[in-house]
Amino acid sequence: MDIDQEDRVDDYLLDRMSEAQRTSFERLMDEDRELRECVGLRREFVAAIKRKKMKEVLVAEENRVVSRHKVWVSAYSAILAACLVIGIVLKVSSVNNCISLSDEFYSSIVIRGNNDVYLSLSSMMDAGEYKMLRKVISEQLPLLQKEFDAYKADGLSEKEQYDKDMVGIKIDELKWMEAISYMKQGKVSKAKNALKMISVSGGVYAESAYLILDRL
Amino acid sequence: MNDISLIRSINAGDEKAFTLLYRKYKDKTVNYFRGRYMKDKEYSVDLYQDCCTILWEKLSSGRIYEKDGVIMVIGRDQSHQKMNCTLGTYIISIGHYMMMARLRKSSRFVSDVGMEKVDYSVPDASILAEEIELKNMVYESVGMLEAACLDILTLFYWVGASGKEIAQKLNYKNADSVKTQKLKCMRKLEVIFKNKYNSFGYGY
Repeated sequence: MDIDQEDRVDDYLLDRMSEAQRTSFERLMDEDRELRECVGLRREFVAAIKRKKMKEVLVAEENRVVSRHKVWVSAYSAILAACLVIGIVLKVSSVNNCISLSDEFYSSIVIRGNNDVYLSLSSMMDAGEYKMLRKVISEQLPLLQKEFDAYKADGLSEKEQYDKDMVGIKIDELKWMEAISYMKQGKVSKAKNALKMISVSGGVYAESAYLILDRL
Repeated sequence: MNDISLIRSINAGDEKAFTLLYRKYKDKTVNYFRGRYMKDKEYSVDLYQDCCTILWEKLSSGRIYEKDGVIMVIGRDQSHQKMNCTLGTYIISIGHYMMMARLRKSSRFVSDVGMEKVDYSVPDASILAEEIELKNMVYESVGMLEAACLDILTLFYWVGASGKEIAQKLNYKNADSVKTQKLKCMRKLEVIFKNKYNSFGYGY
């Protein structure tokens, strides 16, 4: 195939021929098997050259998607890490605040009654045996509640009313100790729950509980 | 965008529409290749991209087109047939024959174990295998050309640049020098291809 024929093949494949030129060239191909095969092969070559370029386009598209994905993953990771750090800082600060408040309010605990159980609660608190302290409280509270409920609602003598009030105060004190023990351990969430119950109970520690909740 | 709209846009020369089509079927097809051919993601993406280039060639040359809301395929025997499957399924069938061709290239012998033919309702499936084999060989031959040749041929056939423009861009003396160089490159490509083709026992 000479150089002019080459040009004609390219013009045909790249659609640069007029309708008349195209018809004439196709007639030539019908008659010339070698030219027909040559055009067919050239068509495949041109297609492969274009495919190679298209592959580069797709690879670039793939890399773009992957790098965009990486950017998003990095951004999400950074945000997550920042949230984690902020969360940890807030948590640590909240726990420290909780412990410090417990020290401030611990002095206001006055254990009433003089039996061994109530006296031991104070020493458990001092010794940091909070779990044991709460266990004892959880055993004592139902007993006190039962004792409190045994008093009539109305018509009590002065002595009976006094005794009933004392039982109520003991219940308040045990609940208060339980809340303080959570605070001393830095268990903010549990302490808050216990303090919320106390703050709405109308008992002797309701106001203190409200004050702590405000500062937690 | 559905297949019909994508085909219309690609037929009209919209390269972005083809990127959309590429993205549309990528995950599903790559996962299919990974599961079926037990290949890693990188290999499967490469296979998918090769399949897409063949699909693009068929779409851009109008051999797959849309008529009255129906996808039509022109086979190598020039018959126009209705495509009864989605483009995604068509890509998978191209992948099947592409995989066969790759295995044949690496081992010269392909067992049908795990490569059994599947009825993908692909209209030109009977000639697709032969076509892909040929296209793969031409594609590999193009890849064996030196960079200077590839630059000229790409500018001429992909970009559509004139001899004068190519001469300016690639520092050739003039358009005639480009024409001569292009002719030499085509000759080289023919030699590479025919050697490759004959080595597979086809006899060109």
